[in-house]
Amino acid sequence: MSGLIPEDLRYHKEHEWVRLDGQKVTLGISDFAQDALGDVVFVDLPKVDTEMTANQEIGEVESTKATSSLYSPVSGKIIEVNDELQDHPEYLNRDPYGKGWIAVIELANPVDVDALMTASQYEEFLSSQS
Amino acid sequence: MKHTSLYEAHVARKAKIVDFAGWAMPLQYSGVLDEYHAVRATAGLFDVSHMGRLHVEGPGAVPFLQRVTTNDVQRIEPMGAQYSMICNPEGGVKDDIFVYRLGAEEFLLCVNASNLDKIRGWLFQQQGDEQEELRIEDQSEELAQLALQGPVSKSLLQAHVQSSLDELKPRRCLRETVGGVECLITRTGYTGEPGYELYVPAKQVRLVWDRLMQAGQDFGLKPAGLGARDLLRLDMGYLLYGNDLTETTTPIEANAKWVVSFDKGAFIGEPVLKRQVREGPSRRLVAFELLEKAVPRHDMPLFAQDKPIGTVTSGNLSPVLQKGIGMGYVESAYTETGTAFDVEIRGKRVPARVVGLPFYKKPRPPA
Repeated sequence: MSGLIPEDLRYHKEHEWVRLDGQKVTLGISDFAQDALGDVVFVDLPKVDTEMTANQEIGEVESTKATSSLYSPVSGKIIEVNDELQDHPEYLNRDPYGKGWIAVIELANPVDVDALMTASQYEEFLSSQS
Repeated sequence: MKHTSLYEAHVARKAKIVDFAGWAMPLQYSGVLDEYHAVRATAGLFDVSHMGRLHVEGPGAVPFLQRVTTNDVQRIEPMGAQYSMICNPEGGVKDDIFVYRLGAEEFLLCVNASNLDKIRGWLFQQQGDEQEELRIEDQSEELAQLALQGPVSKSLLQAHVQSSLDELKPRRCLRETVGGVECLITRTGYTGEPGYELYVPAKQVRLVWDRLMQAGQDFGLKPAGLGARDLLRLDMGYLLYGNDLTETTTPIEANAKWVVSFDKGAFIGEPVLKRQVREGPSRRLVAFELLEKAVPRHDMPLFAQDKPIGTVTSGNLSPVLQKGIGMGYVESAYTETGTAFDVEIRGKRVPARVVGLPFYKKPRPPA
């Protein structure tokens, strides 16, 4: 199953999504990713002000089953993280595109977003993986 | 992958299926945490038919089992059960098992799924003079196995059996019919909760599963998978073969001296184990908790300052304690409760300290 894939987001091959808002993006993991991970019990969040390049590992998502790395699909700087996930890691499972957002990134190269998959491309990508 | 007799029941309940030792087993149904909490609060029903069941019978059974297992089978009364281990001649653990004594000369051995072929072969190979008076039969296929675990297990099961379950004490067994199906009911488990295991003819296990699931609706019973089972056992510090026990770790190193009897006569591995008790093992399994929120996992290295002192064998985040907990073998100098060391989690050192077991102590019910 590919889960929910909202049309207005862009997707990364490691199953992160971004929502573009001017010069910044909000980052999270896809419904497919949260379902594959199972119950999330801990999110090792990136630190605010961290600068990173696209595809760099910025954190970890721990589920009852395994650990999975969190990648930034874009280059830029972390300007906000979702601290509520410290107490409510389950938001990643319950609302991956809403309350389960992970970080806000100020884009270094706004064109990075264009390189990411659209909803239909991501859906195709998921079906090619299974 | 092999299917247990309940595979269709799991698929019908939309279980997530994983390969476990060659078996297609339910990892989870409603979710690992949901099932975990159900077992702690009400009850969970597990299909553990993937485990191996070996029947050992005859006048040679007692001397044979005294030689191949570490514990003293003569201390098991008929219809009693005992945790034990099977060692290699070097004292390493070939498997950790449950031995059920069904009669004076009749036993059922419950072995790990991953070890069934190895243990069956080993037992046949180790038959000596008793061979004529011993019958070893692999009943893994004809018998299925369920685990009903959790505080409401007794009330739930009582309505379906004649005998009073108040009389069934821990590690005791009972033959009963559940829904017309002959079962061996044992008061054992791997969760730290009160509960039972049911050994049921594989052909009829679906009837028993459905009946218990149906009856359990009013009790908050949930089907529970291997994910919940692993978290539940880790909370208690119960050992998992392949992680905490292997052919190169001994029962003494694993703090399981209590399952080794040194006064019953010779057994396989005894000389090495005796020497380890006398001299003290150079490493030991310890339980630890992390002092910062993080999740230790199997194979992560342990350090005291910059010195490597051991490896994590089991680890996870305990849902009730909300702490990273784990077990691992460390050099003997670091086994005292309260000892501090670090777990290296993806290049980062996270402080931990040695604690006593179980990690999770059940709150006493209000009087």
